[in-house]
Amino acid sequence: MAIVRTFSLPHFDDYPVQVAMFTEVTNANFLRSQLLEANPEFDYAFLDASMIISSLPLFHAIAHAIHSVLSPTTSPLRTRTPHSEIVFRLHSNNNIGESYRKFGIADDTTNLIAIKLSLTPEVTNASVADHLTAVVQGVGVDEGEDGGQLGMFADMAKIRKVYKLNDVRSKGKVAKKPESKDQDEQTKVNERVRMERDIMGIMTLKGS
Amino acid sequence: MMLRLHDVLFSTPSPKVAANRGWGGVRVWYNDSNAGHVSYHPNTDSSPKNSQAAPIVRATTQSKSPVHVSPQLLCLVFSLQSTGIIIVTMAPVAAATIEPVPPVRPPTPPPSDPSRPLHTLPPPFTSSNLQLLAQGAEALVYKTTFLSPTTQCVVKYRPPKPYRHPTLDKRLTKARLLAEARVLVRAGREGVSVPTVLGADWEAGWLVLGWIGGGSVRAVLDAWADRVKNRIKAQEDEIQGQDPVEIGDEGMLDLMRRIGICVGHLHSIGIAHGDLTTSNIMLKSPSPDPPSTTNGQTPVQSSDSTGSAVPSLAGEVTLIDFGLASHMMAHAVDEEGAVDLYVLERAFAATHPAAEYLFAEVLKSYQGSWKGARGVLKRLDDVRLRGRKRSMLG
Ligand SMILES: Nc1ncnc2c1ncn2[C@@H]1O[C@H](COP(=O)(O)OP(=O)(O)OP(=O)(O)O)[C@@H](O)[C@H]1O
Ligand SMILES: [Mg+2]
Repeated sequence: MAIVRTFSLPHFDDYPVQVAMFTEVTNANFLRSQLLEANPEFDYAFLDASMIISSLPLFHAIAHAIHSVLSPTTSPLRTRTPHSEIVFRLHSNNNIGESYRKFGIADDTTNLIAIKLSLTPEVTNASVADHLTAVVQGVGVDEGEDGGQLGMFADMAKIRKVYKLNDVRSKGKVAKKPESKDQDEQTKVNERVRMERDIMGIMTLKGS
Repeated sequence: MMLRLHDVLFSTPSPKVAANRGWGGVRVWYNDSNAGHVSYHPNTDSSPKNSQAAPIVRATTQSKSPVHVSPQLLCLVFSLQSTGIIIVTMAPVAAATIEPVPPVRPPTPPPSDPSRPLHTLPPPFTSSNLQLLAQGAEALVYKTTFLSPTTQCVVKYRPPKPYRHPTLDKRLTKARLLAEARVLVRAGREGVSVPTVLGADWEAGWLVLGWIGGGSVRAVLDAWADRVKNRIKAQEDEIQGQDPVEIGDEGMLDLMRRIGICVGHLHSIGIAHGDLTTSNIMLKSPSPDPPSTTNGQTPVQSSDSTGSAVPSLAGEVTLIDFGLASHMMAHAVDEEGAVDLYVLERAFAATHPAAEYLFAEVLKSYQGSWKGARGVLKRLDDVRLRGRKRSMLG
């Protein structure tokens, strides 16, 4: 059962985006094969949810993909479709294949984020929910009204590696041992905020 | 290193940079819409907008005439047919902007998209959800939201300049925006508190930065200066001869130390701010950058004994406006660092004479904040001297 949330990004209000998150997915190989065959029914961005730290980088990729559709003279699409552009935009380098390998789904992906742009009026929350419910074998997860849960499957080590972020705690001065559990939690939250901020900058500078 | 004339024009600092850095002699060079013509405006304030005003020297050079650039001396030697040799002292520019440009083609009329007036933003920023914050010579700054309805941000837009050659203008806009974003990302990654870079379209000329809630150090200093004035008045009425600067309370001094450390941190990673005024130093309110609207508190306003509102001194010292920032070349660290401090010192002095005492605290903590600080502070004396000479000459 798919749980689809519709997001309207500021300044792109005419082009809402449908986002669904799944866990315990068992047919990623099938979904991937449909992408490879370029089956028009499967015009989605399917992402490995472990590579998404939070909603902001994802919304950045989506916003810039829509922007490319609307303003091709200043910001042309650099991939074939708006959906592949989302996958491409997430990576820091300019290699489309590598973007798919790192951020797209693999045959053994279990945590999935599916994105569908409503660039035409037929694509609605209901149409996407029906289709995804029919084709994805997995458990729908609610990412929250503001997408606040989109980072729940994040694999911090993998993300740090793909964006070449240093572990703050292992860099330079040896960090003090946390004095309490609360403090350790706070350190983790701060680090996440920091990583998110660095990723936003890296994504913006992509290819420049 | 030999560059072609138009290459140099491409990398010449804006009038504002030249003025900030206090370079004497010939100060401002820029390309008229006529490629190959060089206008000399002796006044740093002569903005390109007033380029009708007759320049003192107007020399026509071939755009191919070679220009000698000496990075050590940080000066340019221009050879102009009509006037012989002119030495232009200028600050080194970010390496990224010194790049060969293909020969400038004969000028074409300025780009004009008649459907859109110059001072509106390009797509996607066309909604009403935009609030103009600042309209400088270089950029328009709007407040809005981006990516999510709760992510507040500023959009910095550099509109096309009709008096500049369109191709040159595009390249320049892109190079400056990119330079600003690169410095911000680098500084952020090194742990200097700066706005998050949220998105951009370099070709269209816009850059989106995370919102820094909280006031500027300028507002804090202005409020402080008011208190000092009130206190001095009160003292004149009562006990005489007490030192008014003692009014700088521990909270203010602590803020000064945090500023010194922050600037030192920036310099220690090899970045000069380039426009380090008190308006460009903000106190970021404690709520996290993408605020969850539920507790997006505004900075606490306390009151002093006289009952007037005092801006909060809390919040992380955060630097904004990196439009003129540059990666310092190794040999220029002392000079560029000192110019940053000098600009900041002038901004303090402009607030109130007594602010000198506060600035001393900034310098004190700067000194201990990084290993290159001593060299920079030593150079600061020279920069001050230059500044004084300049003002004596008028
Ligand atoms: N990230 C931000 N958060 C909050 N306010 C900001 C931010 N960036 C800019 N501002 C506000 O907008 C003003 C202008 O921004 P900024 O200084 O970056 O633009 P500018 O065009 O370079 O201006 P200047 O004329 O100083 O060169 C700032 O003084 C500040 O009040
Ligand atoms: Mg400014």
